Amino acid sequence: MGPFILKRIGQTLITLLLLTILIFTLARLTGDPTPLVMPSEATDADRTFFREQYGLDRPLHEQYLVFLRNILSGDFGVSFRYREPAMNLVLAAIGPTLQLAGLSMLLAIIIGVPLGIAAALRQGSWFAAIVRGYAGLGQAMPSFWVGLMLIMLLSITLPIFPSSGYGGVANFVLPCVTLAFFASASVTLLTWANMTEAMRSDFVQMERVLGIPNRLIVLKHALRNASLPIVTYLGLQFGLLLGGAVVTERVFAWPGVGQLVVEAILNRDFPVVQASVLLTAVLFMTVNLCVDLLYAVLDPRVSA
Amino acid sequence: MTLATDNGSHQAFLGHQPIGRRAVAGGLIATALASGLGGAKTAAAQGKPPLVVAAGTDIITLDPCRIAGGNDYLFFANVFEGLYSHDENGRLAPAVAESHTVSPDGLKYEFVLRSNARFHNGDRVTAEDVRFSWQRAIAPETRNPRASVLVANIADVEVLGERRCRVLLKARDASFMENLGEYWYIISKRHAESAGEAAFERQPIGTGPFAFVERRIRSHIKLRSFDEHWGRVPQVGEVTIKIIPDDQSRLAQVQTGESDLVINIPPVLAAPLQRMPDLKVIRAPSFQNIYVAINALGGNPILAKSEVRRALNMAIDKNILLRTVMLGFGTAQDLPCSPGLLGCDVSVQPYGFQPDKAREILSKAGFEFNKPLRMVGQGSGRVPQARETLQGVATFLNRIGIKTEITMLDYGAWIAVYGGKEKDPAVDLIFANFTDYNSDPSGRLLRSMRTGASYSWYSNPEVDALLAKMNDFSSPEERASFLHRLFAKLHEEAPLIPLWSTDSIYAASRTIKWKPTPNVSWPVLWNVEKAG
Repeated sequence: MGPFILKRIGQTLITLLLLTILIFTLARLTGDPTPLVMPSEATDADRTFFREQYGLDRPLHEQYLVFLRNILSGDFGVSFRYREPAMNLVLAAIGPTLQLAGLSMLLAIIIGVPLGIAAALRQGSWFAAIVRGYAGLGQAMPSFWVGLMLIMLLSITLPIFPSSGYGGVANFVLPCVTLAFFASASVTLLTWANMTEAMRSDFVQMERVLGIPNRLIVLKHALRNASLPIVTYLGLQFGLLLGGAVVTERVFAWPGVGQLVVEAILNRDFPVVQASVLLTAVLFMTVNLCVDLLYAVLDPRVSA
Repeated sequence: MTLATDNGSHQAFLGHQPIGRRAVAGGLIATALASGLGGAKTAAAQGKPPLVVAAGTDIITLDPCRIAGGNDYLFFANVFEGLYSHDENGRLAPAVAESHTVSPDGLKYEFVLRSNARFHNGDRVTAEDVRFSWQRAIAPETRNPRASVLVANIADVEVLGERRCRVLLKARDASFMENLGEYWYIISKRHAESAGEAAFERQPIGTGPFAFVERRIRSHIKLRSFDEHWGRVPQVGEVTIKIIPDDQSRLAQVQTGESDLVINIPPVLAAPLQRMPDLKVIRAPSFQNIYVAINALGGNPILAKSEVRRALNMAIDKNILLRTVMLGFGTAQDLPCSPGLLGCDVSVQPYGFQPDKAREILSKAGFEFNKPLRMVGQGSGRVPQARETLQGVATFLNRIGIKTEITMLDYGAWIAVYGGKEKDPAVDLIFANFTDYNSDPSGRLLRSMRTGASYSWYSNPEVDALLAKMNDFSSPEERASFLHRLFAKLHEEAPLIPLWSTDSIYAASRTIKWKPTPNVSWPVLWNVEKAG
């Protein structure tokens, strides 16, 4: 187990180093931020000063080395746009994003896993047909549309939940449901398929012959066997939600990382882009590492 | 930390907490401390109804010397003031100063400050504050990117008494008074010196009708009524400006009653809104002009001919475009300015929609109809209907046989092309917009018409000479007459295809009574009335 963990951590660090090169280069490919940051009244001297101040006048490799040295000392630079430390902006955004992603995933698991199991146990029934319909809709409907429909229904027509904004518990409902709708559909289908396979396996048949109670077979043996792909998917989906819930964040004015990074890219705010992507990547890799470790727990052959 | 209660309408939602209670993000939240700012004054403000405003774009700075664009006036027009500013009808009016006199040579302006003008911390505004405001605005360490417009032309500010000061200009500047309200805000010397450079990043203190309470970047700004204001005392108490980037979601704010007023409504959403019984659409003319700049710098030599540029103007039916693309939310223009801008009221012969004549002129000038005009558009939604507008212009050009190729760029790429130092010779026409901050046209003209200026795709030594002379007047009448001549010349030269000036569109609940200040693209909120 020890060497396995060390190997995975080593791989994670190398990936991060490569990522710093990639994100640094890609950010600069978007062009010079000066016209976006400086007002039209600024003189050429002001514009030159801006470039010098942020080292944008230096050769790219020099800029990269400075960037690398700074991030190793915890300095991710200052946002061109807001003049705040970039990492402060990202840390302020990561909280709302983690909350949204975490609750959405929880909701997706709460809905998706029982539905998938139930559908697998009642193949061909009307219940399975409803579950299939639910999963199909969840995967087919774009999240911005779901979000807007929820606002129309549950904020405008029936004023139950706030239409947007970040703050109280009620603010979480619509964005969480929007995100969980898609994720739960995937979890349902994945659970359904894997549980079906597990329930048909030889060991389950054997357990039935041995007279082990059905509940125990399903929840302890079949579900454990079916859980590996589900855990993998949840890990990936959580990582995607960390950086990719842009549409949902925008529709619900959720001040998360997804929107922050998109705004930063559009405004060529390099320090914020770099800090956001790196932090998100670290979180994503940490989640993946945890998933790998969980794999090892669920299936000891993985770490063997 | 002073956090007032949230809008009552929010309480309808289960468990909904005011945003501010959770705002604790260290350096990201700027909060005016209770000392000297809160207390009794906040209590007084709480006796008035709160106002919740939904805005699409967050401001960039709280520092009046670091304003980066028009959107920042959402904050500054409500919290800070200059010696003079504009009244609710958009006319120049005394603000922190009560009166002024100008020397015959136009180089000395003497101001008398109001005896009841106060900063939000209760301090009286003195001539020393005026002098300090100028000194900070031009100090090299401030790096004020807009100093060149006004304050850099000030040679000195002499303190003549507690309430009297004299501003000495280096060169005559006829735009000086108009620009006071947007380019030179009066700040408190005592506050700035005691709080240091962070004064305006954390606790901005101005003299405007609203005092700053708190800000959370990308989330909200809170202000409160400043009841000791010299004259523009708001009728609402606490103001919360929420940042809601998505147009539909922002609109939902007023439909649900979560916000009282929504700003920056795109025309396509405003039109159906007019039929909703519980809401009203409020519109006001703005100084935002939409046009297509013509690259007359030689990349395509035929476009250097003024008759060709005029013909392109004749090919476009801007009234139809305005009706179909903007759904009527704007005013068609024939001049590169908005009505209300000084000098823009000159009488000119409109280009008119004359496609046949346009084609005839172009043929005579040797226009190559088979060579496509390369057009660049702004695709990112900062300007409503930008994409559709350029496509509409291209359609009219196609109708007279001109081929077109359109490239849509996101805002960053577009501004790099439009405002680039070297203009791309491969671009023939570029969609553009320009917003004046006040009635003076010099900012617009110097930046979009002068040879080598950031937004200028045109060069004419004769026009340059007129522009150089534009502000060198001490008589307003003489200058107005000069500006008429200048705009008439520009109309004849047709360096661009003016389309329209847009309306600022707001959606408000029926409980709101408000007349927006005309010709500004940001809401000035002190005159908002809210029932209940």
